[in-house]
Amino acid sequence: MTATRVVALVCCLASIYFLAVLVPEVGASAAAMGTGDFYSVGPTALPNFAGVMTLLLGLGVFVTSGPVAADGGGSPFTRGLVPGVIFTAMLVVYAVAMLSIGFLAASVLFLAVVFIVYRAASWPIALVLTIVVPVLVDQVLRKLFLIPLPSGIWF
Amino acid sequence: MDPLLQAFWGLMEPVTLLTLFISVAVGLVIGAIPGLSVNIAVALAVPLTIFMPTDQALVTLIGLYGAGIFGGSISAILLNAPGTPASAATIFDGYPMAQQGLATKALRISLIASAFGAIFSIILLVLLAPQLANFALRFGPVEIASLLFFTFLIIGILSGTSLMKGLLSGAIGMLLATVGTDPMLGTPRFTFGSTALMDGLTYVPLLVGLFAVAEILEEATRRFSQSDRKFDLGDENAAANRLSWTEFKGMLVPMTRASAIGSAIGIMPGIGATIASFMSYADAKRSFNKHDTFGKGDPRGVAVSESANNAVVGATFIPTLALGVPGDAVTAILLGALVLQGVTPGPLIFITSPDIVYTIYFALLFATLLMVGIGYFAVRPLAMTLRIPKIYLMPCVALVCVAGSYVTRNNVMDIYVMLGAGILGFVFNRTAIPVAPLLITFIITPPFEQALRQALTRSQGSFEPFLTNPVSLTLGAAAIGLFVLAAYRSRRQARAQPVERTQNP
Repeated sequence: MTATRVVALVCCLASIYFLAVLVPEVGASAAAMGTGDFYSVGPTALPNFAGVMTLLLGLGVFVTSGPVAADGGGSPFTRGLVPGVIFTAMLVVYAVAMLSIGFLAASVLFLAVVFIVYRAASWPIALVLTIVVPVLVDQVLRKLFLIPLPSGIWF
Repeated sequence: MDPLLQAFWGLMEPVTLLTLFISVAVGLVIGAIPGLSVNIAVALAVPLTIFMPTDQALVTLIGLYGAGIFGGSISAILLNAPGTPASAATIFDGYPMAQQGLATKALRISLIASAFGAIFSIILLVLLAPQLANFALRFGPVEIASLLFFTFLIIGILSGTSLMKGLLSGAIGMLLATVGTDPMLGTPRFTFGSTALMDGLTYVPLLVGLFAVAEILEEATRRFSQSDRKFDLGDENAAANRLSWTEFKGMLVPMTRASAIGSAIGIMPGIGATIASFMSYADAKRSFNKHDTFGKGDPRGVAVSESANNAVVGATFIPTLALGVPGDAVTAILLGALVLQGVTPGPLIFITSPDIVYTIYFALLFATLLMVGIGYFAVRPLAMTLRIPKIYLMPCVALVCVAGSYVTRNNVMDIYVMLGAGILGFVFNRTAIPVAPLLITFIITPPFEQALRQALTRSQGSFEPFLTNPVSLTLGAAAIGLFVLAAYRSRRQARAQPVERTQNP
């Protein structure tokens, strides 16, 4: 099973759930409100259309993409996936930490961990960037655009 | 005050001029760096433009867009890797020129051709957009719904290599756009009880995720590794790198043809600068390759690719301004940014906000002129930006993505939307599902739904108005024609691949 087929299958299953569960819930709450004698197109019209299109096109992609990867060899989808997943996990942790310990602290920690894990060649440059970039972004947004970012306990 | 003068003097404000200068310079740098495309630059700038006055926001985004397209040619010529996908065709002759010690000449030709193509399309924009808008003023809900549905079909059909994948991406965009509040009844839809989703999925984190984060994740899979190939422009022969008047005259006709092709493609929604540059290159190779010099360092090869991709820039504004339909992913981003500024592109913009229209015209023109000025003198410093290691650059860009997504509404939900969109964009890129249809459909779905429901409410649920309206029928016929053509080409390509495999074991 190729990655394209997996994506197509996921789209089909998600659209079936969408059409079978989520859209009727919207329809039920809209029906409870009622529209009186006035004819109107309900809030489920476009979701139904979009859901059906996604289901049909997902099936179409599944059928037309073929069972074997086009290059015939190792799957290109999984190439370098582990470092990519690790970086994604770091981003998630960074986003959560930003709200707890503040933008500056979380950003410094994020950059430090990335430079360590992905082995930045020059430690002085990595160290400078780890401190300077978060401060620069914070100051530009805070002082120039007057946009506050989350603050931590200390800064 | 006359709107033309108002726009001109607004642009002459020192702050606005400085913003334009900075955005052109940043666009050149970001466009030059492989892995950072024009889309990423514009996507990251959108959160900042929310807090700017409208004219300043427009010059920021337009400056980045125009300069970034040219900037992509720098790494295409010097590294054999385009800085932005639109410059992919520039590699064919640009890199061979660099190998022959003519990198500076190639960069200068690229600059001149980019300016030529951009000015060509700006003239077309000024002439055509008001006429198209005038025609579109007569559109009612039936015509608007038909036009937007036609856009959904055409961007799905013409984006990427697979018809089904393009349409699937568009369908998913439409589905995501239904999250939020029903536009006519005000009832919540698919919000799962969250007040953060009552306004729907926010546009800025979605686009930052789809374009910037997806690309950063791709670079992370390569452990942020760097290409080693470099050319030192200081070692080149200055005399050999001068562009003669004869050579320039020889490029005029190819550049004009390429600009016309690029403009025509720019007007059609969903196709974009990449296909424009490839089509122009193929056309020039068919028409001007008598001595078989294309692909071996022919300056005309660089000129046609760059003229075409920059010609798309102005032309994409024609449907965007006149119809409210984005011509490509970047104008989709610009359209969203305009909406955030409280300006709704469409035929009425020429009546309600003509100063905005003139600001866009002037911004495009001044950005092009600045691009020539900065680009001509800054070729060597720009070439040095290619040496910035991705291991330092990409994590910093990721940090800016997170900050930029958060500042839109100071809501953590936006960061999760950005991350989800980033993963989705990464998966799409790996499975050759185009991302642009998703974003463009996401933007056009709310006006499409509104127009469709108005039309159906008027007709008491009957689709008869769509089957009898001349605009609707014309667009329907055009969509069917394009669908058949795309399906035929897909089948031809699929049949050709097994033959190639048996011939090349």
